[in-house]
Amino acid sequence: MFPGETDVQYEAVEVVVYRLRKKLAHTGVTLVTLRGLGYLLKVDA
Amino acid sequence: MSGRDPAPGHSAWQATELPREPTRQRAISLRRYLLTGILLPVGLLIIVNTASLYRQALAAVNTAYDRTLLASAKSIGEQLDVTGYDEQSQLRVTVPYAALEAFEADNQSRLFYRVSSLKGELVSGFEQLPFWRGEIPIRPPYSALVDFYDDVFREDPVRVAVLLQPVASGKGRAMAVVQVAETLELRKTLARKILFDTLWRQAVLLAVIALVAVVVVQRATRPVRRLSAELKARPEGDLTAIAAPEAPRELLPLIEATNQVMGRLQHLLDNQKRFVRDAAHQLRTPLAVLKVQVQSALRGDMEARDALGEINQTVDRATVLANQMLALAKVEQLRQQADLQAIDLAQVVRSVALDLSPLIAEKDIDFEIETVPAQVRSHEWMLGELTRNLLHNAIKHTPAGGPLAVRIVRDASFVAMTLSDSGPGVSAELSARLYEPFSAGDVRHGSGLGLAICREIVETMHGSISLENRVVHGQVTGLDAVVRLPVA
Repeated sequence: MFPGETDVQYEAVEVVVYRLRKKLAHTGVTLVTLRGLGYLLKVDA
Repeated sequence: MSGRDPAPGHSAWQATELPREPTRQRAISLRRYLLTGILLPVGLLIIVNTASLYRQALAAVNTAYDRTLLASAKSIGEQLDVTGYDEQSQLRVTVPYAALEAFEADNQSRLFYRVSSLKGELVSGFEQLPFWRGEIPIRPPYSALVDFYDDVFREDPVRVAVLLQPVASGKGRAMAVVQVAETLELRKTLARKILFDTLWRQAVLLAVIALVAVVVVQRATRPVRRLSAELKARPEGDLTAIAAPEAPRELLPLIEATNQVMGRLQHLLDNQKRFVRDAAHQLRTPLAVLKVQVQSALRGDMEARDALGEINQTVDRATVLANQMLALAKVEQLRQQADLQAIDLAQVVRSVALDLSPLIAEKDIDFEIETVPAQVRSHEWMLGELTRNLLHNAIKHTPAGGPLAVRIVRDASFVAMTLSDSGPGVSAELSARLYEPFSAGDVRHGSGLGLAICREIVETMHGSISLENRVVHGQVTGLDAVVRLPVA
């Protein structure tokens, strides 16, 4: 989202993630948060 | 199980092969050092001593012979007669040559005499004997009318005593000069005899001292030689402490230090042996399990597909174990190469966490990572292996849905990486053996080598590692694995 930029607005990321999670609901795929590292798409077993 | 001890002696020996003895510099011989140290100064002293003894003896001999020479001069002086006074006096003497024979100590040296007036006119004796011209020196032991000097008579060196003899009679009074000369054969013979006597005695003295020194040095260095022989005669692999109760006190520090080195080697050797034994045992277990799985599949106790699945898992476990053993060997190898470079620990940890993130997600772990850039001196593979092992352990012990945090902090000289899991922690009895190979509590879940590898790596980087239970209100809430490394 902010390639090569240092002034990163984390709130913006969280908004995007929130929207993405909503869209992924009931698809058998969840977005796992790894704080400090990133996000991971996980296919539910 | 008799198979637990597969005589690991030889391979273990190769693993701990000692570095080659450095080429020896010209070693000083303690024995030679002691001998020269004692004999050289003593020898020099004896040479100086001999010279001075010889001179003293020679002086004493000369004094004694001079006195006999003077006595013969006096006996001649007593037989003088005179007529007339002073200037007009006429001296007369009748000295039979035989009179002098009494003073000839042997037939080696010959005596000659000459009696003259003060003006040098010959009265009696040998005219060729040069007349004495000189002054009487003041020499305390003799009267003021006596002197001795060296001269040459008939081409022979002679020692001459001169006596100024006042002669008085009823018919006159005058001064006579009596000279008695003696050839030097006797004195020379005696001097030579004294020289040989002195030399002989000093040589015996030197020989005795040398003999004593050699014997003493030989005896003093005997414990060293005995100890060397004892050590050389040892069978290969014998690292027991040296027992040398008869060794002198000066040798004890060396023996003690040697024993310490042997102790360390023994410890190392024991560790290697145990490692090989344990590793063999650990490798047997999956093989035995495989055998059972294959057999039950063959007998039809189990669906072939299920059996293959289980076999697959068993093979995976054996592969992990083999890889870990290789990793441990690689750490050892890198430790000896030691070409470390500055690496950012934070980047390595993040990349490892990314690699392992499927495992984290699988257990729905509440993961958090917080890092600051932290340069440490290391080898990239080692740092990765260290982090991977620790993070893997932490994930393994964190219950599903539990928290797991990785933090890196640093100050001016140290970097600290903490992995806080929410697992059961370690029991007190286990914590003592935590880093020993194959000692980990639940062998089914790991190779038992992870922490041993971690400790090897941390030690190579001159850091420290600790595993401590995190206790809140008397309850263990998890384990903190802390690695401290010096900043690059």
